[in-house]
Parts: sequence; structure tokens; C-alpha cells
Amino acid sequence: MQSEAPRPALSGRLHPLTVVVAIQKEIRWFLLPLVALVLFGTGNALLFVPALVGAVIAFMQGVVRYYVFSYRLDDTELVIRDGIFARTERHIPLERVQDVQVEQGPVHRLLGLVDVRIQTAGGGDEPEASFSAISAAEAETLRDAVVTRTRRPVATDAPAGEVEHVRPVPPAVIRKLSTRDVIVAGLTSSVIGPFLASVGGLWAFADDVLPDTVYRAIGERLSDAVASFAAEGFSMRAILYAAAGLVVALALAMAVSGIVSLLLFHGFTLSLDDGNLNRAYGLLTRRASSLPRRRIQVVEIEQGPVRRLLRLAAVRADTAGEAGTEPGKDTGGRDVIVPIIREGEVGELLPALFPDIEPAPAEWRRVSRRIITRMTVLGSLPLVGVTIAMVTFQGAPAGLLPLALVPLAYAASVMSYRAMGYTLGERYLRTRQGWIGRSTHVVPIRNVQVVVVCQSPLERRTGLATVLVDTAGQAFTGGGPQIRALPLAEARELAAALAHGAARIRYRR
Amino acid sequence: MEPANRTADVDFHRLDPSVVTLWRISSAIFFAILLVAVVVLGAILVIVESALLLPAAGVALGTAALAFWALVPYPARAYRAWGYRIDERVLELQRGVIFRVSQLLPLTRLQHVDLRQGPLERHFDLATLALHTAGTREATLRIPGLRYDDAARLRDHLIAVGGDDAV
Repeated sequence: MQSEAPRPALSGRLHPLTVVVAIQKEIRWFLLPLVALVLFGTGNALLFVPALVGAVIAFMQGVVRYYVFSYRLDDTELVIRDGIFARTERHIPLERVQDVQVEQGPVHRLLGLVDVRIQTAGGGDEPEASFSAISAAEAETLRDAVVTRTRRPVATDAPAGEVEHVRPVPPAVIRKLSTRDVIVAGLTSSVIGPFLASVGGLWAFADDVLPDTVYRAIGERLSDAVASFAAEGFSMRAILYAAAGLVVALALAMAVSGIVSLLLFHGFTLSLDDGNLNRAYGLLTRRASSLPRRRIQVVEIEQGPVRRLLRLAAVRADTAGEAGTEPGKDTGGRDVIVPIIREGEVGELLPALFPDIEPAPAEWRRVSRRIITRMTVLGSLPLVGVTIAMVTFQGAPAGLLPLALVPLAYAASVMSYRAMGYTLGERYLRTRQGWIGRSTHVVPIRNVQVVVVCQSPLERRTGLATVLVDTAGQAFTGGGPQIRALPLAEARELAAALAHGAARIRYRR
Repeated sequence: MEPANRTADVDFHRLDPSVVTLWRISSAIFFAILLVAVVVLGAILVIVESALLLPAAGVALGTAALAFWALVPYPARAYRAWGYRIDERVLELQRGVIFRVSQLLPLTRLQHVDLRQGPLERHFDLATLALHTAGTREATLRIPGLRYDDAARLRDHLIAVGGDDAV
């Protein structure tokens, strides 16, 4: 299929079973309550009226969608026709395609279908082209066609004059994660926030599913317990219970996180096929994505506190196609290059992402020491507040205790200062920050869009400045790299070097 | 890396001085509306509950003080802080009274340039240039307070120098 010169135009439409998928999407949240209703006779049958209406509407939409949706792929563009009253015809130039994502949920898998999404540089929340259900074989053909036709001469991959790897390289598996790795990735991720969110979600969900009496009984039991502890005040028993509760909650959170990670990343494989990074992962929902490596804007090596302690890291990337994604939104792992990797192996991974990367720096350039004082003062302010409060209520000697923590604030500031640093090479900027948890950014200078030097009033007094580096598509790595507390002259020099370095190289994504 | 501070020997261009008056007028309009809203709301609250007289007066006075600052000293200081300069490769903007900010834009990263003129700006024959890049948070840089003809000339120059870097 992908060999001789004038390739036939590829065309088709969605799979007829797209209707089933549409209905399933509409009613899946009602399935569990439905089971409860049938088995226990609990819950309100009226609850299912919207589900039924939704299913009927979804069915009609699915049928219409099947008839109005069609696509055609030729050598240079993908054309999609869609819409009932307002017929739209979307032309997507293949050279703009950022990422081809293939997803297969359990229902899709049952029916032998897949969901294909095509992202372009335009960004935005929605993928530019979305094939909600086509047969797996057709998707494979489509993906291959798009990926091979997207591929431009290798020259775009590296700055001019550095084209060496023109010979086709066979696909190479860069990274394969075992089940154990994937579970470790889940156990070591920051679990508290997501756990709290999921508990809230579960509680709301329980409201729908559990019989009213049970739901209310649990609620009453909980609030009674809280009330009685509040009445007893600081007793040993209350503290013990609270500690035990915390441990149980944490263990639960870790278990949930491990399971979530297993569901999302099971069988994670990262391979490189002629400049395309292919990722395949997922237990119930299988996901596959082909990301042209030159689309990577910034790479972040992320180490939460636990991972840092265990010398582990996750590697994530921002690509130009995802500009519109809200931070914190479920990304389905699309931002993840490798969910878990040993700290020492990151150096081997980077050349697969950035072929022209320079060797890691022997040492990092430090920022100004003045940041230590600033962080100590800022860190001590809450302590002073607590001290004032405690002296007012408890009297002088005991109330002064929080001040004993000021040296700790100083020590933490020193450690933070030591963790902060950057290196500027010929082609890459690296920044690093964080002592307990650490975040390292690797930015190809060719991807720099705008450089900002900013001084807050406090920074102006101390003669320091912050350098921010803006690139395309900073959706996943939390706003991209910044270097705080540089002496103003050094900040200006760095910004000018980055801007002039970027101006010398053409930006291609 | 080649010498970094190539922009250092180029002087910053100032904005057109009439932009100070424009800023004063637009702030005056904004704060007039705000003050009226605050006074009316405060009056209603005081009629309902006379004990609120002091806090309401405080808020109104605070707003008035802020309006004075935004109208009298601030525009002149903002004007003094503003500047832009271009060498053959990089455009640099500098601005900010409280937060000092300078933005550096490699001209090859320029995606497109908008020339905008609001009704007030038209009266002063001023225009704002909006420079768009493919970036995320700093995707759009703005230069206000340019004479319309200068803005058009600057736009043509920037496009000629930079805009060949199609995405």
C-alpha cells in the first residue's frame, strides 16, 4: 500500500456500527444504576427517562452521521465532509498533521472498531479530524498513509547542515515497560489530589447507586464521628484515629493510583520509526499514537518527591498540536513520553527525542544566592503569624515554639537554591528547579518563540529578574521553563542569547 | 553562540507622546463609570443600613485615590517605561511601572501582524501593532501608541524581515 509513486486516493466513511458506539457513549453512566435497579429494585426508574431519550437521540445522530460523514485522502491532503444542514468540507494539509492517535475502548474492541483522531498545529480543544468509529484494518491503512505522507525530507529534523541520518532506520523499540514498572509509576505519582477528587466523585456516584437509606446512614455515621471527636477535643484517641484514617486513606490512594496507572499504561511501548515516535499502551482502552519527533517543543523530566527519593522520573513532552488543552485535564497519557524511567537512563532516552542534543552538562549554572534570603523571609512569614497567634492564646514561652522552625526554613531555602540552575548550550537550554520534587526542562533553542525578562517590585529591589521562555503548545508542562532569581545583567544576556539563537534557526514544526 | 548582546548598542524607540493623553482619557472613562457604580452602590447600602457609612465612604475614597493615581502620575510613568527596538533579528519591547517586563521576539517567529485602531486612537491618529507568534502564554505582543503611518511602516518592515517562517 505504501510503496509506488502515484498512490491511489484513499476514501471511505465511518463504520455502520458507529451508531452502537454513539448510543453506548450516551448511556454508559446509567448502566450501573440500571443494574442496581434490576437486581435490588432500588433507585428511581424515572432516572432512566433521560437515558432513554439520550439513547434515541444518539441513535438518530449516529445514523445521520454515518450518512453525512466521508473522507478522502490523497497525496497532499485529507478532506473530510461532514454536517447535515451546514455542509462542511475540511481540508487538512498532511504536512500540518501533528499526531495521529488511535484509541480503542472496550466497546470498540468488542466490535473490532477504533477511534482515530488527527491533530494539527492549529491547536484547539478538539482534534482537527475525528473518526469516532472505523474498522481497525481501515484505521491502520489510514494511519500508515497519513504518517508516510506526512513525512518530509529528513532535513527538517535538524538545523541546516546537520543532515546525517538520511538512510532509513528500521523501527526500534526504545522503551518497553513491564507490569511492575507501570504499577511503580502509579504508586510513585502524586496521589493525594487525584484521590480526594475521586473520593468526591465516588460519593456523588454512590448517591445515584446506593439505596437512599444506606447512603444516608453512612453520611450520618461519618458526621457523628466527626462531631464526637470535635466534642472530645485533642484526645489521644482522636489523634490515633485520625492518624489511622490518614494511613488508610493514603494506602487506598496509592492502590487506586496503581490501578489507574495499570489501566492507562499497561503494556507501554515506545518505539521510533523513521522520525516518528510511536506509543502504544492501555489495558481496557488501547491507545496508540504516532508523534513526529520534530513536533516536540519542550521535554520535561518530572520527579515528584517519592520518585526523586527512588531516583525515578517521568518524561513528558509538549507538542505544537495541543495548544488548547486545559491544564489538569485528563490527557489520556498523550503528554507522556515515558511514564517511568530510572533517573540515570534519561540521558540515553533524550537523543531519541532530540537527535542533535548536546551531552548533559557537567554542572549547572547557579542563580543568585540572594534568593536564599528571599525564600527564607517568605517561608518564615507564616511562622511569624502562627507565633503571634500562639503567644496571644498560650502565652510567651510555649507560644514562641514555631520560631524554632525558622532555621528549617533557611535550610529548605538553601536546598531549593542548590536545585535551581540552567545551562545554555549551542542548541539546547536546560532548566532545573525543585529540591523535594524536581522538574527539569529541555528546550531546543529552535523552538523558542518569545523570551521574557520580568522583574517584580521585590526583584527590582534586589536586582534580580526572572526569565520565561515561551514555546508553542505549552499545554502539558505547566507553562514551560522559567529561571528565577538571575542577576538582571545575566538575565538580559541569557534572553538575548536565546532570542538571537532562535532567530538564526528557522522554526519548523 | 555568537555575541549575545547585539541589541545593546541600539537605542530604544519611544511611543508617540500623545498616547499619554489617550491613556488618561480611557482611564478617565473607566474610572468615571467605576466611581459612579461605587457611589450608587454605597448610597443604596447606607440607606438600607446606616452603620455601613464609614466602610462605604472608605471604599469610595480608595477608588478615588486609585483613579487619581491611574490618571495623573501613572500614564507619564508608563510612557517613560515603554520602549521598543529592533535589530536585524530581534524585536525587544520594554514596559511596566510596577512589574518591569521586557519581551524579546526573534523576528523569524512572527506568524502575522495586526494593525488596530480604535475610535479614540483614530482621533489621535495612533494605532496599536499586535504581533502574533506560535507561542502559548506570550503568543501576542502589543505595541500601542504608534503614529498610524509609523505603525504601518513598522509592520511592513517586520513582515519583510521575519515573516518567511511559515508553520
